[in-house]
Amino acid sequence: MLKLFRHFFANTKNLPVTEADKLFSFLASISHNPDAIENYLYQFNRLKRKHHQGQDRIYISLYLTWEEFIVANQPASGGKQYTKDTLRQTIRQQIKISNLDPEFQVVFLDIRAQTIKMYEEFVLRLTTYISDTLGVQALSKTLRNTHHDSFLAKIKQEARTVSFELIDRSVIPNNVDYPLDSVTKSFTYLVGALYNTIELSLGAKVTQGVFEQIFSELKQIYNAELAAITLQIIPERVLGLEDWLSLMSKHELENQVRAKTEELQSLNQSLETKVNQRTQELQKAYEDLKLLDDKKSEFISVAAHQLRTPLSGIKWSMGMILNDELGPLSGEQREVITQMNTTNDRVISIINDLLDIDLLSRDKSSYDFEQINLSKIIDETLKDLEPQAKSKQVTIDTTGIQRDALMAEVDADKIRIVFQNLIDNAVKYSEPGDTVTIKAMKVNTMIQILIQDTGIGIPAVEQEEIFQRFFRAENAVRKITEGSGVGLYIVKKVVEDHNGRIWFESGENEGTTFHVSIPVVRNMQEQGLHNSIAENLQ
Amino acid sequence: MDDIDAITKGGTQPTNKRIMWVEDDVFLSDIIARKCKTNRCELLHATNADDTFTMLKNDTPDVIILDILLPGKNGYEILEELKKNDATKNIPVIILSNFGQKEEIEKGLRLGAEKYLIKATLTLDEILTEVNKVLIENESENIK
Repeated sequence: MLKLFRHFFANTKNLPVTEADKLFSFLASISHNPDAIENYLYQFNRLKRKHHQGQDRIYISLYLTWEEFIVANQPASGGKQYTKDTLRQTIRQQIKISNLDPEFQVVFLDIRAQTIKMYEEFVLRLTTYISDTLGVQALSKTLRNTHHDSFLAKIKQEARTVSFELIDRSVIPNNVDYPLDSVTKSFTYLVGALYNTIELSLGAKVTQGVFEQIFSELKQIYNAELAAITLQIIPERVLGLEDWLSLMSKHELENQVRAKTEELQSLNQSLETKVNQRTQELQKAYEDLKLLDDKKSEFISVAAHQLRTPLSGIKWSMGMILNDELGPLSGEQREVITQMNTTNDRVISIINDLLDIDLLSRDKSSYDFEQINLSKIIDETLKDLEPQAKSKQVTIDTTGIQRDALMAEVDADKIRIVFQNLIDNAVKYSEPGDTVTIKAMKVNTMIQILIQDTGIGIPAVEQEEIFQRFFRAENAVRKITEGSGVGLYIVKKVVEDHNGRIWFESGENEGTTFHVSIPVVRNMQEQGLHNSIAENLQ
Repeated sequence: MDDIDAITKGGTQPTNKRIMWVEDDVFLSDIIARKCKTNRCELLHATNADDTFTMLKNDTPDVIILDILLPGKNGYEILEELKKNDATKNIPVIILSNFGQKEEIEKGLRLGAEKYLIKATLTLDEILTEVNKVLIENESENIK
């Protein structure tokens, strides 16, 4: 090692030995990579030959580069591993820092003292500029205004500039009254005030130029890393992002990018943990909900059973009474019991609706698809509803049903619910003498069904809501008070579970036309034919 | 759907038959008893599984109408036992329950019930019309 030093110091042996020599010798002694040592010592000797008295600062960049190399590279074995701080601490013990030029000394200050030193450097230059261009009066005035800040109050004005020497340096580094954050805040405030003073007289552009010039000067004297410390107290309005980038050296940028990358990585990691955690929470919530849903289904099923049993007893009893099986009835008794019977049937049908909803709200697996001619289901439904239509004097026109062409893959029991509800509604909301028209045809891959009445219609304001659960139109309630309002909800659900579509046209007191389209093959989607089909059917 | 046709046309009801009816609800049992009386059918009324099997030791009904939800063993379990036992396996069984979801109906039919009827959707007349149909089918099968 010694031989190596001699070799490198040979070119400069005529020059006096300085504290900087000792510093770089020390760095060489703790480095482990011969190539790196050779490279850095070569650079040092080049600098030393150019070195003039009081210019130790030319070593700053080399020092920082070498320092980073030492910190970044683990010794292969045995040697001590340094951080920036421990290395600088060691250097403070090994060499006499006070023998270095003041600018170079700054590098070895602890972070707090270093930061304050750089702030001072910046403010010194700024105050000098103000004093020189705007006069001492302007500077004094500005400083007076900042004196209510207890930290800044200790700054004393000198002829052209300010003096920080009155701040007790032995106290400042560890003064709990002035944590670095609040010192930064005070300096930011001071720099802001100085900025305003210059801007007021010379305008924003000149002011910005002054700031940039001072920054560049600091960068040149110290280095980019140390100069960048002052960016913390420069008002944001002076430097945009672009300026920041251009003012900072590549080295500084790399450091920042590295810090940001580490930050991002740790963020990513915590994000990943969070996502996993949330996923687990969601999974748990889903399972809880599913359990709740199962419980709800079970409840509905049991409740429906419990309700249907007494209602069955009433139904059976009234059936026997109305058959005169339990003795003859007077005319009035028969009327009343007939109403009771009808009401009872209605309650049963509401409970059945609730069961249907519950059944349909479960997954599609409860569907049982088969090839069937839809006209069969329509005819069966019509047979059920015939008595009702007859008693209301409503005619049902079925001439538009093309019975031969209606084969489709459907769940017959569920599609029956669709026809029952739509035709029943059409009859229910028609006036005596009206006609309900039913048409059904095959158009390409779809079976198209139309159910048209000339009844009370659906008020425009309520048309959006008719497929909602438990919804009943206001005019429908006025006409027929009972009804659970689940019919059309179920209808829509069933149609959509068949990959079909349902829509309607309606005007109040003009009647309603429902269109249903069901694919012939269950998995086939409709091919945008609604409009032409609707026209065909009209 | 043929069944419904028969009802709407007004089907015939059984008379002079021995009907075992397994039903635990008091109100329903009462009205069933009255109905059987007017139809001149003999009612063997059981309210649970034990009742049912005790009565079947001494009697052989023409048909068994079976509820599902019962105290103790449920209707499915009773049905399974009936179909396992040579003495009872040929008696036609009709399930009459207010449980009426697809899987429940399928289970009943799989276990050997002739029909699965839902109480609340039918009158007693309609139920007995269905019972009569089962009896007629069963007789013609026995003749064969």
